[in-house]
Amino acid sequence: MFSGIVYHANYLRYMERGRTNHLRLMGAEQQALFEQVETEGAGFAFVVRSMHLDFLKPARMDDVLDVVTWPIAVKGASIMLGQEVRRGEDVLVKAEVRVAFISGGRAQPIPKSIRTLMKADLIS
Amino acid sequence: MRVRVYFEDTDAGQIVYHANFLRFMERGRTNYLRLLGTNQQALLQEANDDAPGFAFVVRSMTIDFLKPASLDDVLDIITVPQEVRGASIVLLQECRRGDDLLVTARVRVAFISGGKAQRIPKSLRLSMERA
Repeated sequence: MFSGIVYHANYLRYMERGRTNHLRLMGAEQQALFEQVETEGAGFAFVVRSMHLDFLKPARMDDVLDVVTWPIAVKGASIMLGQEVRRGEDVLVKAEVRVAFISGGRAQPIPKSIRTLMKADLIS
Repeated sequence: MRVRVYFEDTDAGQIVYHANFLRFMERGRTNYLRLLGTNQQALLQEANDDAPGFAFVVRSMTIDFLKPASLDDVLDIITVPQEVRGASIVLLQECRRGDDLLVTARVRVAFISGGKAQRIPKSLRLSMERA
């Protein structure tokens, strides 16, 4: 059956792109930062530890959606991000996502340079 | 319900991409409904008569990713109703590899018919409460 609405698991893909972009925008502001981290913790990545999702309204085919990402809390080894998928003023999906910093296959403290940068974005 | 991890389920880190667990969980829920149906063949038909073209849609989820799953793993998806209300159900789901608990989820699904949230037909509700 064709319903023309977005399959719920696909919002997670949109939100992952939002998180990647969030990191990229931070990196664009401070190019040297990510190179520094790369040399410190060879091959680092952020992995999703937990999520809470509220699916409020459906998105439909041809919709243009905004994915908004902001840090809620920055801890030693993990970050809590808030994310929303919006269509204009309408909030369609709300999420809280906890990501951990992984390097060499293990959870590691987030390098201070990244932590400081993310804290600068905290909305208090 | 069992699922095998294929290459297409994994990401660049060669573990199961987090969003793909939601697909496994959905299969688990579908299977759970199907099993309810085989226990009581008439049941789903009856629900369909009460509420034509019904479906369950996901309203909210809380997911904990505890350990990664890798290529070729055989995973068990376990689905248990936690709370059956008038128009929605809370299901607890687990993804396990043997004794290892990999992912847990708490999923609230709502009953939809004719494009609107509706009360779950009593027959369906009762069989879930029994399960």
